[in-house]
Amino acid sequence: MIAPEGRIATFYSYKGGTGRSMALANFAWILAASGKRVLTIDWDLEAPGLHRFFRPFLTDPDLFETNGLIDTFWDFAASAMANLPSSNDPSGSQIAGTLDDSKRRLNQKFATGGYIDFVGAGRQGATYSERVNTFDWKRFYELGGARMLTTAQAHLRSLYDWVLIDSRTGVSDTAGICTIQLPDTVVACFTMNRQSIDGVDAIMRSIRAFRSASIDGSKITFFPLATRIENAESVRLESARTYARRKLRDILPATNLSVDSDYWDDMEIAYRPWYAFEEVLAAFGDATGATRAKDTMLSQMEAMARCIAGNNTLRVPEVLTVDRTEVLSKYAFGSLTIPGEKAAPPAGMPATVTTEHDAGDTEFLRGLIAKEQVWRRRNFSWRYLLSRRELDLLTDDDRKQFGRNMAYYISNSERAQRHIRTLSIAFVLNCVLVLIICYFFFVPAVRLIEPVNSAVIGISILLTIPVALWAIFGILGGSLVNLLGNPPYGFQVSDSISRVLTGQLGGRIRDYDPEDTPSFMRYSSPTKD
Amino acid sequence: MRHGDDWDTELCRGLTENRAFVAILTPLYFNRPNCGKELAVFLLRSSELNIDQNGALTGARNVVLIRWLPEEAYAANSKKDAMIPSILRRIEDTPGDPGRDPERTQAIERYQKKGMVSCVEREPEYRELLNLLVARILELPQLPPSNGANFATAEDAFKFDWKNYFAASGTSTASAAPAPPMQAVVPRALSSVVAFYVTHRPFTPDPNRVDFADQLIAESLSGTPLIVDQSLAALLADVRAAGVAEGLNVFHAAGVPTVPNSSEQLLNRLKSLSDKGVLTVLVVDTNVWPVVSSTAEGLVVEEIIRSPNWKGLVLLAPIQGSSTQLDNIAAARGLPSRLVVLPQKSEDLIPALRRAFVDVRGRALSGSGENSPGAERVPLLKGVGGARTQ
Repeated sequence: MIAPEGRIATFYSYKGGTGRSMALANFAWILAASGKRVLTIDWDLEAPGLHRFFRPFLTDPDLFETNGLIDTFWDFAASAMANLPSSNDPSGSQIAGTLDDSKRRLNQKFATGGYIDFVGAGRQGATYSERVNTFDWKRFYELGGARMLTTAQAHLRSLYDWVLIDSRTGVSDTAGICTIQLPDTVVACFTMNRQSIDGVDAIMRSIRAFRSASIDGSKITFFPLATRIENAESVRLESARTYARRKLRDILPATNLSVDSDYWDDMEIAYRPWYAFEEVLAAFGDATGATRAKDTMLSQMEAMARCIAGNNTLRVPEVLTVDRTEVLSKYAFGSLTIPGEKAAPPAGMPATVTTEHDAGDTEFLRGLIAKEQVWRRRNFSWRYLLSRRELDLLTDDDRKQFGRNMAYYISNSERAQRHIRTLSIAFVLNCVLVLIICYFFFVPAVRLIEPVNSAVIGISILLTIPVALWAIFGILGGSLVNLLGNPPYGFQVSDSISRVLTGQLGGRIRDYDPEDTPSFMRYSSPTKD
Repeated sequence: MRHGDDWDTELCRGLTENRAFVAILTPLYFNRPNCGKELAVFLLRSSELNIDQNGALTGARNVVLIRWLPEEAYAANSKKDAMIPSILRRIEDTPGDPGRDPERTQAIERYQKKGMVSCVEREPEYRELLNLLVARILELPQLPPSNGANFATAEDAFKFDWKNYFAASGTSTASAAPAPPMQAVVPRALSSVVAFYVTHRPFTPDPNRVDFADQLIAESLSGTPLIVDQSLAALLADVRAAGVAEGLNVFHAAGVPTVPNSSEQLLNRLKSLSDKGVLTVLVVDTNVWPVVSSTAEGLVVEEIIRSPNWKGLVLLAPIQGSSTQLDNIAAARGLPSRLVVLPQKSEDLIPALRRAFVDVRGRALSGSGENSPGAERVPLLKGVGGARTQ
């Protein structure tokens, strides 16, 4: 199987503080949860911060021991200069090796087999700023930097489904490299003020002009993303919004969205004070089951991700309260609790009742959440719904813990159980009906024919007619049950028909087994346990 | 070991009974008396233990070495692994590679170059290396337990006179083929620092000859006592530590004479190294310059400082007795901005040296200024002011 080419998306903003890294980190999370191989690169060398979002999942969260992008560039410069002047064309494997040095996989196993690799800006410590500021980008290009980047680009595209780059702001040279040279998609974050809007507009036009003139004219798609929307001053917000939408109209991507406002519905991120104090992934900051689920950071990030990736089934996987509490406690301030809940919940709160004897239960519930992701990843195939046993084991309390994704999944699973039962009855009825018809009509008829014609014809009729009847009744019955019944999402008419025809042979829903995931989903991850 | 255990007893018990000794090598390891004692106690359990004519132990059984740091950390001047004491030279520190599994080969190569420290966080390399290590330990034969050991009386393996020990015990020196000579290291662009020292302090020259300097200054490695000025020795060690922290190979070089009579030769050396992209620094003892600047020596040093022909920095090392007005002197004489006054406190010294090295590396990378016509340029974004809109 030839792997499709990965996409390279750069997240850019003209000014800082727009929530660029946040959008990127959440986008990466959502993609990985849906089974994608994702690489995130912190190219904001002067003010690195992407690693803060991944803090709970990094072994060296402050990057004191981990080399990063700038160290890779220094390595490249050293080998390029050592080879001068005979050859300054390093092979792809060399680039791969130097980049490999700085890649770290997040300690998070997604049931769908997706993962996030992270390349930090550089090893933090005494001389980080010197290492960044003494790097001469002009000289880097003279040493064959452009070719190195092209090689790296091709290499990364073959390794990953998505490469996400957190760009430097403004018009610095590194911002130019990661917006013009590398990406096929630029997500331009801006806040609702004139400087930010005009800046983003000018930059995107400049990227387009540069690309069409010099770099093979290849297509580049822009996704403007309005961030930090604050509703307090609604009149002023409205005028800024109108200004931004008019200004950016003709650089919107040519998607199937008919109206601009449809696009902007998805691509506006509200300002939420809770997220302003610490870099936290929305998957842990918000509960997926929260009321007003449409109006959370998480749902807005989901909408953004669906719009950029062009995939409407993307969801943030749900997290058990136990796991959420644990991850939140690993963020830097250490005192984070679930928003809306009082700090240090007293005994009796759901977050703290979990004791050792529940460990098995927790594992079971994690398995169900994982199964939901696999179901999504496998195009909602009914085989990945919950089995009867799993549904029986699920208590009311468990159901209350789950959010909307899981509620939808469970209701579909229940529908599937009912539907499959109906189909089994239809299968039995079908068999009985065919037997009756054969017994009363065709067997006597064949007996009449037999003396006249040869036995061969008699026998063939005897075999063909029941099969034909069986098929006709099966198709009719299956379609009818599918039409009148309430099949789960993703359950096709053909599935119904085949079940009426074959009964249990048509396969069944199995319990979740993490070891049993299909090979394409399996990957080894450096998880802690 | 648990809380409250008696370390000495527990360690001795382990050393006399356990099957394998895993030593994680760092340059500090060789200077720690206790580490040396532990190693000696364990080594003496091997019955075939002997020494070859180069001073490397042979027949040391069940000792497994792990190179923790990148290879630069073990190199001294122009020789690879010179930091590792000679007694350990013939003990295996790298897992064997049958070459069948490319992933394994890659892991081993990485381990050799970058050390175990850079493999720890990496899958699948780390697992691969651990598996090899475990397999090796499991394959080791049992060693007979030795009778008792005492830390108070045990010898430090790195200081112990092994040659004498074997001579005294009557075993002949092993006549096995001598250990292969140490690999030479040469300065490479952007990844090596050549520090030229201008000082009157005494030092022992390194016996290995090189073509980029008149002589190299030997560092005091474990087990090799050198006649060297204590403060200079400390400076050498700090310079190396700073280089290793930035991933640079350090060469301690000096001219003959150490304080040059004329600038020409030293300048040529500095220039040819700079042209190759090698990082160069001139470490000047403040007893030479600028304290007595009117002397001929002082003038020569000043000429080198002023020369635009090389790209490195001049580090003023107030090794003892500082003069605080160095900055003023530089400003008053209109010297170029390549003077760095090193701090006296040792905890500030290494960060200052690291910053200086990174700075020098930046200078070594930065272009000559003339843009070759065919060279590609950095794509630059145009901001709001870039194009006037109607």
